[in-house]
Amino acid sequence: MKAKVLAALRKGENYELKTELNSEYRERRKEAVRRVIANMTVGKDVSGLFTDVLKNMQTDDLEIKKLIYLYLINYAKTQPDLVILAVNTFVKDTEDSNPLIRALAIRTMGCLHVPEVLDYLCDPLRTCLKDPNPYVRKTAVMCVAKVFELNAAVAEENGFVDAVRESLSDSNSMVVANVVSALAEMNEMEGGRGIWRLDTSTVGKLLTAVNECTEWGQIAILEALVDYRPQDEKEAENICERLLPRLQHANGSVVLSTVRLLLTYEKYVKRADLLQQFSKKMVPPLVTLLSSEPEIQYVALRNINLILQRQPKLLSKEIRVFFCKYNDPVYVKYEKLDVLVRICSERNVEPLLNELKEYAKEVDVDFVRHAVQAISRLAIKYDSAAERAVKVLTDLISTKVEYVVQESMIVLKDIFRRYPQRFDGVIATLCEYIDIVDKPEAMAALIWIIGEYSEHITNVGNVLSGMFEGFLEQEDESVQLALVNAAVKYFLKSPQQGQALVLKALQTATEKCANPDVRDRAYIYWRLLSADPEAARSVALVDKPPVELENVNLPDSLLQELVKELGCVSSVLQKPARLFVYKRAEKAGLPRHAETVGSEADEETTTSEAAAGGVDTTNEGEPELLISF
Amino acid sequence: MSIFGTLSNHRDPKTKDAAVRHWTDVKAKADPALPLAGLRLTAEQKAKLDELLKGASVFPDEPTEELLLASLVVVPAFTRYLHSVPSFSDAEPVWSSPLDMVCIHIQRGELIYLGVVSHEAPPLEVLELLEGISQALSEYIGNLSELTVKENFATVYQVLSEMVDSGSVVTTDMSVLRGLVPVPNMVNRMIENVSGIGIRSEVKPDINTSSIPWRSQGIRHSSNEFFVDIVEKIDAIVDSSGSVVAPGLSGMPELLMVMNRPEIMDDVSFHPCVRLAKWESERTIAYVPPDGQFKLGSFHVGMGASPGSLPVYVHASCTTQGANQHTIEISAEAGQCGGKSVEKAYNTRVQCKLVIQYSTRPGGDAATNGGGASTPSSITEPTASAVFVDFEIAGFSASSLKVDSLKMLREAYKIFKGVRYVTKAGSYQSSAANIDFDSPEAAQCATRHWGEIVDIINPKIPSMEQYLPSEKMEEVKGLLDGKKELSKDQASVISPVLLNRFGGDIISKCLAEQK
Repeated sequence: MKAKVLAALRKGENYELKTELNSEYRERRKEAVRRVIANMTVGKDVSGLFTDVLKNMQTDDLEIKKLIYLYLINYAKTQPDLVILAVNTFVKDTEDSNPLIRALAIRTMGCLHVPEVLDYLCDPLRTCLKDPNPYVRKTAVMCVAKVFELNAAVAEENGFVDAVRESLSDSNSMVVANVVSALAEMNEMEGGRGIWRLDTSTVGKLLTAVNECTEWGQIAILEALVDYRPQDEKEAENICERLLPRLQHANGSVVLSTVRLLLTYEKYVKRADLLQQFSKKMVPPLVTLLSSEPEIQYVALRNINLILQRQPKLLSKEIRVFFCKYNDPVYVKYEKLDVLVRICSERNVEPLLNELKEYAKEVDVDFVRHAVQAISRLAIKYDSAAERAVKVLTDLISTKVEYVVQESMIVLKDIFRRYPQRFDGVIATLCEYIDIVDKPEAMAALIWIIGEYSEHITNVGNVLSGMFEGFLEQEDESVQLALVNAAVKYFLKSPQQGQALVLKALQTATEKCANPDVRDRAYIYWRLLSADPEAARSVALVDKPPVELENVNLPDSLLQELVKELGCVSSVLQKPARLFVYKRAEKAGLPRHAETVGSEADEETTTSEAAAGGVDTTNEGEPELLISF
Repeated sequence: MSIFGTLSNHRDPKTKDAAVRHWTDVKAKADPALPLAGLRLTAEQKAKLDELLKGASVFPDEPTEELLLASLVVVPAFTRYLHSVPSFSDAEPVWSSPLDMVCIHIQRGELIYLGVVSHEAPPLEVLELLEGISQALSEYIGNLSELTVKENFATVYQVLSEMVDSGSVVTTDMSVLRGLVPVPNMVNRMIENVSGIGIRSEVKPDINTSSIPWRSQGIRHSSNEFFVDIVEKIDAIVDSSGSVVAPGLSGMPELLMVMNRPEIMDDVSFHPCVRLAKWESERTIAYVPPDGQFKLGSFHVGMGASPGSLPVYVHASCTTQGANQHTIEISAEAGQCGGKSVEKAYNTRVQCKLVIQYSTRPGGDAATNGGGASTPSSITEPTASAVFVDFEIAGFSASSLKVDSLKMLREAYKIFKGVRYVTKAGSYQSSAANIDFDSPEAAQCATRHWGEIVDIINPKIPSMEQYLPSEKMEEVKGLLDGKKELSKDQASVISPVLLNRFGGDIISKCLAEQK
């Protein structure tokens, strides 16, 4: 290998390869072809050797043949004229006695993707579609899709599309599976103009084929069946029942496609007992997916998340499966946390809180934040869990680990707002940890708590003026605003003690603060307080609407769309497909005016941002707060 | 569906279209990479690029076609994404790239397998395919690494082209692949090297045309043997899974396997050869096995969380002594395993992380250390440590699942059957308890169990000097106060040093019980 690399560095390697390719010794030619392909792989230009490589195409060595075909596929587009030179060998190969070579030739000709070759391809393709060997037939079927992509008219005129449609009745199930993927692909290229439509008799064929073909064929068939509209209830039930055993397949994709089909057919099947049976059968396979590789777990979890929004009770008994393992990758851990909060019920909230407390002691800062947020979501979701959750949070705060304390402060604010007056006893202890808190968001939260519940804290005056020391150095306006608010609230609640502080706060804020928002806020307070203290009271001490846990579900219309695409990329990214992939339909025919491109693109970005926003709130699960006075 | 998995696809017109539409994004990504272009491109490509750019250090606002192609690289965009996350293993497996492409990847060993999807497709299918590719390649090449892949590119290409045909998956089944691309082995490599002629048409690659894709027709063996391995893996959450292996059977036999308690297997997933309908209706496993080794299926058995059901117990405790001295103690004991002996039980690895907290000193002594420098103020105890254990018990099935009978239909000959049971550790994770000997709880325990602790410590006093640093030894001598042994009423003055060294076991157990 070293020698090869050195040789590659030498100048004029292509010349050397040229001589080798024309060598009289077969083994040297073989080695030369290998080196040409190696160079091609690392991005060197070996197109100059085209004719020399081509000379070696006539060989009975299958490896060489495959490598040369690969070379041709790579350079066909840049040198279409030269490819014609190879056509003869291809055509000859499609008549070879070995079915493997026939299939290889027809497959490669399709992959060349060169219009010039089309004329030569038609006749061999027609023969191969009727080949006695199913391996050749199924390869030929895929080739039709390639021809169709290159030139739909040629494919239709030569009757290839019809031939493929007829092949649905092929005796070999692997051919049938390929027919399904080829037709589906052509359908998509056409922009759904109807290359084929499933009907009752073809569905029957597919249901038979699905039992015999490979897992990849099964996926293709399942995907095709999802779009089918059953004639009546009976047929829908029959399809579902015959596909139920697919849930036990070892391939996760087959499992998820089956789940998708069952969920889609929910609207056709009316019998409640059947639907219940389907849901019950779905659970174990979904749980099994969680013991596979982390990547598969991730996709499964994202989908489970969607399924749960449709059927919230589906997995409530399986909560332990979603507990995070120590060595799970972070992306799996976050999804698990989200699912855990989703499936938790009042019955098992207690063990879950203990589990979350353990997570909050880990060292991965982001994961700890997520865990702490999950605790608060549980507290806000379940009245009965609030007590326990607050206990867990105060325990966590007492560890004095900086990031844990910060995050706990932030979420405690929401819990206090959700259950006013219930946890007044805790507030005083929080003040002991003021020194640890330095993240602006956490500081603002703590100051808000102090201002709001000043009557429960013994030395608010000292605490607040202590915090006020750093007012001007404070760079974050949210902290400054919180301080001004807290001073005003403290004054309104206990005018005697608070007077000095509020004066100092408003004076500093209006005269020395650089931030216009903070100045404005202070001015407003000042005028309110001096003009009408009662009005100030009604503004600053107004009853806040309680925090609700919201925005954890996707908007209904988006959810509908995503559940339909369950198991697909869009369900994982939780955005509709049009926002992230190229649409073939555009290319296939729907004209797009140059001048509209810009505006459309703009529109797309805005929707994508909106969708992304929706997704974010789901992930964070942080209840949106109204104005914090 | 189409997956451009094997080659980077910047020649694809679709990618180009996308790049035109998102040129600003592409430019934003490509510009910072320009100085590094020399590393990625070959000398010729680099020269060509320089020529196109006409000496500019960034891409122009309006690209020409060649420039588009030069800048257009989904795979480099993905590498940049990989580098933007803390560690490769943290990268989300499904990532939407700015070029209307979705990158789906898995990481196996030191290699990352990336599938690029240009339109809506099931990501699980891609993931399963990548997994299949990774497995197939390791079967063909053996030890997979960047170097071995490069050395065996000819094989890699052949295998990939048989697995994926212009984006649709053909097969990932090894028994099919072996027929299409011969697995290189020592013998034919030798022949090739010595004689200069490769094994070609002698071994005619054969294709399977039967309706049973996993087994080719006309297999003949001189002896027919069938072995079933039931391998149970115990996970920490006490789940188990098993697999079955079968070599060598002639013809097209159909096997019927009956398990003793099929009802306890709840989450079952099978190899495609198993007739799922039959399993649904009769709970028997009927299948035509592929030739050679294969995994018949896997199942889960919930064993309940009852203590005593695990064959091995591991206790781990982590003790903290002062600021930077930590001791991790691990002990294992055998539990219930039906009288069989536990073989090869070994502790594989201990994962533990130390948190070092830094506090920033205000700029008081700026002159001495450059202002606001950080010094570790405290090191908290190792948190969330976990111990992973491996073990193996032959001839024992943890779930008590047995093969009741194994019958062969459709072929006349007799087979030799064998069934073997093995129980292994799956993901057996035991979390370590964190024990702080300075804590009041530990002191309480020490007081309560002082009698036992003293009995452990006293015999060790003469040799203590070897273990303890001198200032600690002074402390101990102070406690001894000239005597040879500690007395039983000295509980209140006991030093954490001693507890940590000698009373650790008792206290950690006691604390664990309290919890």
